[in-house]
Amino acid sequence: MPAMRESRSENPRSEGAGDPVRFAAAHAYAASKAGEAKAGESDFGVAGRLRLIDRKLLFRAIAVSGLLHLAVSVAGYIPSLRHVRPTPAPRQTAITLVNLPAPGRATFKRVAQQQEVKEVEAPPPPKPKPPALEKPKVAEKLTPIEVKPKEKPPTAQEAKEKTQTRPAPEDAAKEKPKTGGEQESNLVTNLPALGDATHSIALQAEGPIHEFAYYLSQIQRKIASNWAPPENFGGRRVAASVRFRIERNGEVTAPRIDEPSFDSIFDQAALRAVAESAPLPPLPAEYADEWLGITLEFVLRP
Amino acid sequence: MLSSARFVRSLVALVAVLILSAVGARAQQEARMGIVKGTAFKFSLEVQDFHYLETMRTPLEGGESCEELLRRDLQQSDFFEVRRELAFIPDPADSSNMPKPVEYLATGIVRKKWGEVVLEGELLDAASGKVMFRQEYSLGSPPDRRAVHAYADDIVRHVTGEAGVALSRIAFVGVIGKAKEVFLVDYDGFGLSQLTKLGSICLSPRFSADGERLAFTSFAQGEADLVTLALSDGRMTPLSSRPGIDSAPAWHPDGSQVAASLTFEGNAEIYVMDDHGKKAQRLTFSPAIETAPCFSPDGSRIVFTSDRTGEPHLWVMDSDGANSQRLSYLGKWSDSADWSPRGDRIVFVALVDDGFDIFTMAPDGSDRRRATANDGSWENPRWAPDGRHIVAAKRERGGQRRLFVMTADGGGKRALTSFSGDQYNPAWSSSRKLREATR
Repeated sequence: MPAMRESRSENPRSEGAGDPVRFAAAHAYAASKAGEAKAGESDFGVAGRLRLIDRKLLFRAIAVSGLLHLAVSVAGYIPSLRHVRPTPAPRQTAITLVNLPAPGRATFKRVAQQQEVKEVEAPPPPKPKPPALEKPKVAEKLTPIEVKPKEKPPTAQEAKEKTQTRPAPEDAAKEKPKTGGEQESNLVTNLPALGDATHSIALQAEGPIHEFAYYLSQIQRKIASNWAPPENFGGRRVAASVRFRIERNGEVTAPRIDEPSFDSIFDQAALRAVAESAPLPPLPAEYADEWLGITLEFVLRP
Repeated sequence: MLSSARFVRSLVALVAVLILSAVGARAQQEARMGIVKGTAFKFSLEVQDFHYLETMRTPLEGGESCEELLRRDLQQSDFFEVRRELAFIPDPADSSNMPKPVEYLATGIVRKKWGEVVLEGELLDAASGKVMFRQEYSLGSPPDRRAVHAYADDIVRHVTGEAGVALSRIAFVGVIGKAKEVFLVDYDGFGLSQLTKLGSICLSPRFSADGERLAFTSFAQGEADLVTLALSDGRMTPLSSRPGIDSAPAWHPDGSQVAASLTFEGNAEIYVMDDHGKKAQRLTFSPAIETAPCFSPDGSRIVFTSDRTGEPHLWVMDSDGANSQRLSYLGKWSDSADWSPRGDRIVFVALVDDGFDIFTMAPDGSDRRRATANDGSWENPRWAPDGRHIVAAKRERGGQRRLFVMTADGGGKRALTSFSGDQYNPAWSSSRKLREATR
């Protein structure tokens, strides 16, 4: 509705003046709009933007601090990466859960885009040598989702660009043999696990949903609030994955156990959590596809 | 030697890792909410004061402004913790003073569009500034509360996926002089209208699942008969005029059948018939009284009241009458069961202490919870279409019965009606069809 948008721009709402919350929102909103306009001309979000600035200067300065930061943070995460069962230390939980499920699981291979997936899962296990550089590639996949709220405003734009035109020539093209026109629906977004020391639910979405992090977090929360797993597994870790589709109107279709646990009651509880949460909120109006694929991993730790 | 591509990549990685740690911290915050079933949480939402462009700030019926009504609707939806705009600028250095950021922002603009007053609503995700939806509601002049209700329901739907109840309506029996007639009122007590003018006695109205039809018991022809009333045109059609007492109608969820308590074969038994009252099929066979049936939302089971063990209590059976079993063992009398549209709870009243109180339980009779206590005697609890609210009649000390709306746990009680004379026998409609009222 272009007409609507025009009128919108003159109205007081877009001024964004007032309290900080409102201001922040208006700011991010403006950024996302700008991103829309530009999307398509740039390639891979962050990298694309950087090329606009003088690279050399930046690289020197940032790379040094970047590598330092990396080394520190990765050092923190590596131990938890190696263990199958994460320590319930508060800070690490979420990170671990994001990274862990991907590598070992057949699930995401079936997700219909091997190339993407390879990038997600390949790096950590086979090449233990340069973890500082390889591991974050996993993170790369995960970034778009939280980029907007936490980082500087332009990132909203970057996230957008990322979804529009896939990989940056100098970056991803090198990694994988390009297969011409890649479908937007091949995009995968991971959301950090929602949960506590014993229960958690991690979410993986397939579809151009990067910009709508809020949506994923909505459905994750709703399903979590409907999850009532059996509790007693004799100190063993239990995990099951459920896959389903969300249609435009929020309807849940084709829910099924994707990766069963060793306990069918646990599996059924996971399926029921999804069933009881239907209908989910309608897909965001600006979401490009007709449906969104979701994989949820339900984990119960002793 | 690292190529520049590598630099770029490591930079991306750096950003990613930093963000992930931030995300981790956030996820950790959310973890405190607990994620296992039963731990309720509310979404935080701010409704900003609306902007009025070239229009008067005309209050709605009842004196509220549009934004005040929207806040109330959302608060009463039981999904939100609603906030106004912040009254102060928080000091970032003083964390104790820092308010928790809201998750959603609802804004509104009231303005004239082609001579008509419209409300433009917009819901934003506060963190990203993404527009979740944008919708125009015809507000009219004088402004129509239902336009604001429609906006509230859309917000509920876009945040939770559930249908809101702000546009829903409640039918009930009201006493006027000697007559008991069926009335209809908005869920917030406004928009009262009288549906029947039979000058007789009407009882126990029940909405069909689509909210289009009401079935109720009428004594207009001398004895208790069943009647259906189409809400679109107010036309009444006889449903069952069998000899004896035809009472307590309850719709099958697909609208094709009605269960009721009929006595034409001697003793009050439960029957199902089609929606024209034909093909009555008997479901219960006992010398006791069976009445007050209600279908489960999937239509497979019926909960009802029977005194076959001596005292009236709740029983449940398959919708063909098989597998009947007792559900409640509470107090001397349990009655008036209503199966939640979500299927997960049954609400009913039981005579404990010196009056009837409202309880809910799982459909297998387990997990019983009490919703009212020491607050008059309660009758006819009925679920809202969202399965989160209940409307029921309370008999107060003076003897007058009035309707109250509350959440399923008995919280947030508010009086629905306040005119003189008894009001009781409520029924809560779905609101989907009513959306058309505001385009």
